Amino acid sequence: MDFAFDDDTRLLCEALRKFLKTEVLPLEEKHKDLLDGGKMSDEVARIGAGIRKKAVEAGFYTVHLPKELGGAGLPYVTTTALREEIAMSGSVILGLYVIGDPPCGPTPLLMLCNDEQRERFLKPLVAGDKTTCFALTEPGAGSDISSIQTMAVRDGDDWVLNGSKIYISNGMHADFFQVFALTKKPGPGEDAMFGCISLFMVDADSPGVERKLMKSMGGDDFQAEITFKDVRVPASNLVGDEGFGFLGAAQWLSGERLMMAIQAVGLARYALAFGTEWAKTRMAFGKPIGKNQGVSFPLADCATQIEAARWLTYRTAWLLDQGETAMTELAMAKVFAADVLGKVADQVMQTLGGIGYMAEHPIERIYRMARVFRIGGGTSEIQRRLIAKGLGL
Amino acid sequence: MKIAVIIKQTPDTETVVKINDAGNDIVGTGVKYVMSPYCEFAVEEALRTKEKLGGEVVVVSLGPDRVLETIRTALAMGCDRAIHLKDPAYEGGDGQATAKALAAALKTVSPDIVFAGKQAIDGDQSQVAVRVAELAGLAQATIVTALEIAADGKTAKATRRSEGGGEVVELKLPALISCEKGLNEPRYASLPGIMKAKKKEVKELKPAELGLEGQVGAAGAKAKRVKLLPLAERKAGRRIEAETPEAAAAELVRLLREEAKVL
Repeated sequence: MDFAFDDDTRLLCEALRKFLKTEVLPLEEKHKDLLDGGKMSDEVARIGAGIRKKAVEAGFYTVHLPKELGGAGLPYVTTTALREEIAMSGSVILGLYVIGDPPCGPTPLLMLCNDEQRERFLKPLVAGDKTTCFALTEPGAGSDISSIQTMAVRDGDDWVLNGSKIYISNGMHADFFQVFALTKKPGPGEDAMFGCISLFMVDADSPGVERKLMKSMGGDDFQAEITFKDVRVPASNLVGDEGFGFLGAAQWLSGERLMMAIQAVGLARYALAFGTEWAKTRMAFGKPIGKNQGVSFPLADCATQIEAARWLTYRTAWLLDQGETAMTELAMAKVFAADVLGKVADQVMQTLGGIGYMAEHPIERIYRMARVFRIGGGTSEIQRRLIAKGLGL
Repeated sequence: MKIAVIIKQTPDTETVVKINDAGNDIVGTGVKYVMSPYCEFAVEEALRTKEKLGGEVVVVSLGPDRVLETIRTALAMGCDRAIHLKDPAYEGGDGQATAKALAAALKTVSPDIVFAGKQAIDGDQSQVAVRVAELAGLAQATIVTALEIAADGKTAKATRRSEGGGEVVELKLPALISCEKGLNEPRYASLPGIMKAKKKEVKELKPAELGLEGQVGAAGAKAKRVKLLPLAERKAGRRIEAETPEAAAAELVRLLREEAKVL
């Protein structure tokens, strides 16, 4: 048994830390007012695009991709460690531009693209020239993917799309969307996933596309509603096999769980470090507040929970590296890390007291962000369902 | 141009170090090690020199197995090959013993210019670089904040920081430059750089191969650290509470004058 990172991972983490310190964190400090607690404005997206280009040059942007897609072909453990570095760096938003992770960057989902499609869609993503988004969820279909209603009807050389997608991260800024739509209405008792749902690449400026910003609790202006009204999409934009678009995506979605688990761990570590420092330096009644067990014990519990979530996540990454599907462990890591982040954010805010509630410190933002970890990327209930299934229930 | 750079691995500044039971060293476990920050300026300047004038950059470092990690960082940044002085006999040396080993290793490279940090951030003795220059018979400029090397590679002009001002010195190469903050902004290793670094040569040299048996490490040291003194614990700060900023400022001035007696 060996819990140490290998040399590659250590060197990469060190290089990434330096990249964040040189290229990302100073810009966040400089544009503090503009970032406004992590709002994805056009101006922020422009600054982010500059970072993205630098990350492409340094090789970080495609670090998560297999070699055949222009990536580094690194083990899951390594990419997990890199994502942890970003999450715990204290970056408010610009850190999101360093690794081309979903939803904005190139995802392994694009493995389904044929050569011609790779040229048109994958290449500009890998180069950091364009961004994309994952348009799956609909008002009537979240976890229950088979119920999507967006319809694509063949008309000559085109498909004609009608329907609407919601909560689409990066929807406002994406250059093209990865849209899941029915190319055939499922018959009675038929699961749409097998034979009915197809994947289309849709240019954001196609006539009939409308996107609207959705305000959220996170205040990050990152989600959009996208509607398609008689949007014509060339047949050559259908990716993978007609009717089986979601099966490719399913594989990608399991990777997203690992990503969210480690982001939760990284954010929790950052929050705990912030709270611990506060407990050491904030004086009350003549001593640092951390000298009171009422303050120190809850933080000790936070540290213990983070440690558990962290190694659950790394072990899951390791299992994936061994070629396992690790469906149960992925679900466990995601559900547990999301819960831990929520508890830690809540506890650290309590440690900080009044100042924790104020927007000038990062904890209230993390507290708000923590909530989405139990919802996005498969709700905690869906994860528990997967775990129960693993138990044979 | 033959360019060499001497680097040292030190505990990260963010690591909280503990003194061992014997009281003469730090506890090695749980410490995160990095390249000493001034050595980063040296590596960067070496790489910039190569980019301008061509040639090869050789990294030289002394220390145990773990030092290889820091050597790899330098190689990932773009250095071409490395010499690792690794042997238990090198351990426990003073500035002179360490410099002797490094100078002998440099001799195998015959560099036109050598870069080093102005000091390592652990021992803070600022001895090794100057002793290496002496032992190797190199011209030297210490605490350098700007450097220009003539296109013919024969001379260099170095700007040194000195108390409250600075000076410019001209050097005949071969020379050693000890690097100060401000000289440059060190680059970060890129992913392709890290992957390439794995294939670069790291040559290990034992004291016998340098003809220095019994002369390096503890055996060659003339000075020995006998005790480490802990940092004085910082006292808690004091917060001035007042109704208005003016009243707070007045109170601060009063305390500086009457209690701290600095005004």
